Amino acid sequence: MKKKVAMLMAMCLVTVGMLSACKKSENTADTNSADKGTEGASVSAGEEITLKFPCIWVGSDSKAEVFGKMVSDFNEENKGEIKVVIEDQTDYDAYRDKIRTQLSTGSAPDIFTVESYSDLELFVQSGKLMDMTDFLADSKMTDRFVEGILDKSKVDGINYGFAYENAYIPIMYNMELLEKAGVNEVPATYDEFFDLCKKLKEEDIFPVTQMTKDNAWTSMLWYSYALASCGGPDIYEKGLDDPAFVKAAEIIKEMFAYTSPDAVGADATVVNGHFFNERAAIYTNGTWILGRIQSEGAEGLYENIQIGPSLTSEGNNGGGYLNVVQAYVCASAQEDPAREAAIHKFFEFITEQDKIVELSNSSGSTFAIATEVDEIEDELQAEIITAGADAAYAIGHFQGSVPTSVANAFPAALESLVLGDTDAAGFVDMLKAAE
Amino acid sequence: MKVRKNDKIGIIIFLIPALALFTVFFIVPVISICYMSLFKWNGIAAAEFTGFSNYKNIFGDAVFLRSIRNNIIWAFAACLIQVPLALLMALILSTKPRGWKIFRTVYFLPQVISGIAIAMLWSAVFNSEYGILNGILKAVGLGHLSRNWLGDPSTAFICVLIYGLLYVGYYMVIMMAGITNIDESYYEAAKIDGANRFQMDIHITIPMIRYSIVTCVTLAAVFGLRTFEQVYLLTNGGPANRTSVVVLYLYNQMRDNNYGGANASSVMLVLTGACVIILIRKLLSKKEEK
Amino acid sequence: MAKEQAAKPVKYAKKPTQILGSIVKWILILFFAIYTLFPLLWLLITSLKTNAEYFDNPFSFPSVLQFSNYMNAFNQANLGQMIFNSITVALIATFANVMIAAMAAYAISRFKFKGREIIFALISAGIMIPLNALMVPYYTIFSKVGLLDSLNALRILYTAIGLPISIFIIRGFMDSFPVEIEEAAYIDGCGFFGRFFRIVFPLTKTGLVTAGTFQFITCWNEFVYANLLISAPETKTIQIGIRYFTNQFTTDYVSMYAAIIIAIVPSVVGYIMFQEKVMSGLTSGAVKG
Repeated sequence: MKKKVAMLMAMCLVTVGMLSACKKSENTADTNSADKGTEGASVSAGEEITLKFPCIWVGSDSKAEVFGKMVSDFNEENKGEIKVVIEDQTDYDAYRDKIRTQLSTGSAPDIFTVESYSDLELFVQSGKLMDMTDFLADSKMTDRFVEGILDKSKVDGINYGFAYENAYIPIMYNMELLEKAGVNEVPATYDEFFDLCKKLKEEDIFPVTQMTKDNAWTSMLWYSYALASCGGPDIYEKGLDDPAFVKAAEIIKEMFAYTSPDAVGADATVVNGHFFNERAAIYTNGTWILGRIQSEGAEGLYENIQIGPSLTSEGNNGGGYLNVVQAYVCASAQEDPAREAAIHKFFEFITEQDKIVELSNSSGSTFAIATEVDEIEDELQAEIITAGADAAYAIGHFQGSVPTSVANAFPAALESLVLGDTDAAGFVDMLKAAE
Repeated sequence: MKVRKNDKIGIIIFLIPALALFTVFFIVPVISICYMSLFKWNGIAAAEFTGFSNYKNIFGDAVFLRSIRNNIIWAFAACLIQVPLALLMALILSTKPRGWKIFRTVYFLPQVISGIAIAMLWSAVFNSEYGILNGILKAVGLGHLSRNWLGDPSTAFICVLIYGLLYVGYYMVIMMAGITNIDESYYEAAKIDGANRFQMDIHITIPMIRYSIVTCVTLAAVFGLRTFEQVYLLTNGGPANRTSVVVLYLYNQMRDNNYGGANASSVMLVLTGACVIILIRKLLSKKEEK
Repeated sequence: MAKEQAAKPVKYAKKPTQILGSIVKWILILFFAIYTLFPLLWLLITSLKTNAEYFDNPFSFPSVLQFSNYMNAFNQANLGQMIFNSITVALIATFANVMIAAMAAYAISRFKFKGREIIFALISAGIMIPLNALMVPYYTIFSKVGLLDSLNALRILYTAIGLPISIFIIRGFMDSFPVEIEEAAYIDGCGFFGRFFRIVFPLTKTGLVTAGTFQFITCWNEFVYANLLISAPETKTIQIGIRYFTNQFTTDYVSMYAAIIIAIVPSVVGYIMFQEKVMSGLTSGAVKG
């Protein structure tokens, strides 16, 4: 009996081993050709160039479908010459770890995306990123992009990547709930704003949505808006010592008095849950959320939304919008000019205006490539883009404008502030300590 | 057993695969990490030698100290609550009540369910708005006790502990495996002497599975020190880093691109764990001095 | 702690304390059963809801059972291939790990050779090592050997990282068996390997199965290195498949829960079958006093 079981197990293992060996030889074949690629060996004419692209726009990401189609269209067009292979990356943190680990051990994927400017600065230090300055300086490319954004993508004066996804993040008001509180207009100053909050609270509506878990996303956005109002569009250049940081902290602390009781420790699910189900009245997030509001939100919510810009603090700095680069596209430095040309060709392809419009319409994301607003199908999205472009000023959000460690310290510092462990000045001290 | 001549070759052959793998995957990387903990490194640029300043920094960081405290509490709680509970359930299930096989499988299930799902569930349970905990409290008239469990510094850590420690299946299975090895004849002899179940448990079962118990206690202490996923998924160390644990601290150091701090924390963790393991072994083997 | 009813032909009347003990026993059993099953039940119910329903109230019941979530999960994330990959990786790594651990544990448990305690202490210290911190060293190792992007990297890695715990558990089991039995075998002329394979190995089956179970689960649940060391879609494992539905701002929770349930099924089935086969046949002790 024992022998039979052992034999059976051995046979199973052998079968499994053989199957996986077969798969392995398939993979090795792929890996070999891809390895040749990353090592930059020269490719003779007629041999297909394979570009590996670990990509975050896969799976349930709103851009996944159209972007995937774009890549396969590109591969069709360049059949036999260039093939871009997308490698699914579904987790942002894991993706960042992977790129970073690869870079520390001396290699880089052919094409990849970077989430924030500080990450871009970090990766540049590896010396493995492709210098794209000349490629992008060509008017064919420069003219495509929103003005000034390519310059903002530079590190030490060189383009190691270009801004691709460029988000507009307005404040959103559920006007139906506002009317219940007797207010018909979007507030313009912080005094009006808190007045509105008081009235909403009386009606048992959560005025604003706040969260502190993960990266405290919506609260971080609120803080960014407060910062913009207190410090003006160039506040980040002034550094953490500027009193505006403390003033903004006081504003956000007050906001927490007007939010749901589960705000501390809440994550995006909770916040979305409150706004989508009309338990909370004021929200802030980027245009990508509009599709979900329509599909998962309460009936009529989408139609009741009105957007608003930053509020004035002491009469200053109203009318601005948060405008942030969500993704930079980068590539690894290539020794082989043929591979470099192939990568350039791919970049040209994915920045074509009509493709961007299609991507924008299907996903609700907005991009660094300039497009005609009338081609945007979603009403609210078009409204946001127009408002953002016409705004008094545009400013980045806190997370993307400060060093990584400071951004990472934000949620815990916010919790300390809100729980009363520390005051506004102490909050800023905690951020400074992380630097 | 005495080592005889022809045994020597056998011992060496048997030890080689394990030692080889262990050296490659543990010894070498750990030495590398110890070495790197003396440097300031952001993971990409060149590393800068800074001696012991990384250690000075982490010990000066209140969050790190709090993390160590939380881990120690967790380790103790695991040994003093989780393991005894598991032992209790193992003893109960060994009396083979009706359907015991089903229960044994059921208790083990949480290990197989992805941690993400369990964390999402408990996040929802503890939620102050629509959570079941508050719902139950309100329903039985204790509504004044309801609060934001995971967002309130005074209750957050306890909630995380409870969530982590009531899953006893892991240790229960180890101990049940030990119990099945006990010869029936011991129990038969005891029954003839008129012993009841309780006495049999105390005088036969527990002593005979002492190796399993020691294993469980050691593993519980070690897992308590090594906790990561539960805290990461449930509170991410919050509120205000109150529930932080060392591995989470280390993880955040890496996110901050501070590999020096991460490596220093790793070294401290391994040292602490090694001491704890040796301590437990010494303590518990003394007790068995016959 | 409960008093057991002896199976005798003459029925004794139950004493009140026995009934109380029985009640307490069953309260405990049921409490833990509910506590444990609760997540599974919740998962099942939630995986049949829509995301909108989930956001509205995580504890509500679905108005319409969304079986499509399962179809979605399976197709979108290509779960079939991933489950197969996870199974091959976990099985091979578990088998190798348990074999190697058993061999090492035998040497350590049975023979008093110089350096035995040091080696065991080192190996035990290995349990403590936080794997998260070792990304750079491990990536470098596999990159140098050219095994990146191959499932064999995971197989080797999982075999290795499970060794400390497996050796620890198996040694604990081996220690509980007196050496006399092997002494007897030695006198009978049984060699080193014979003693191991024919006597100790079968005896410690429960320990091996226990260690193997944990190892299997560790392999099954491992995510960090499965993501770091592997890229090609055909080599993805199930944990990556589950995170297919997560996103920076949005997560398709109901599909993710459906995927998790799909991922649980093979492990649970395997566990049940394996436990039945191996554990049930082990009531007869081998060492008589």
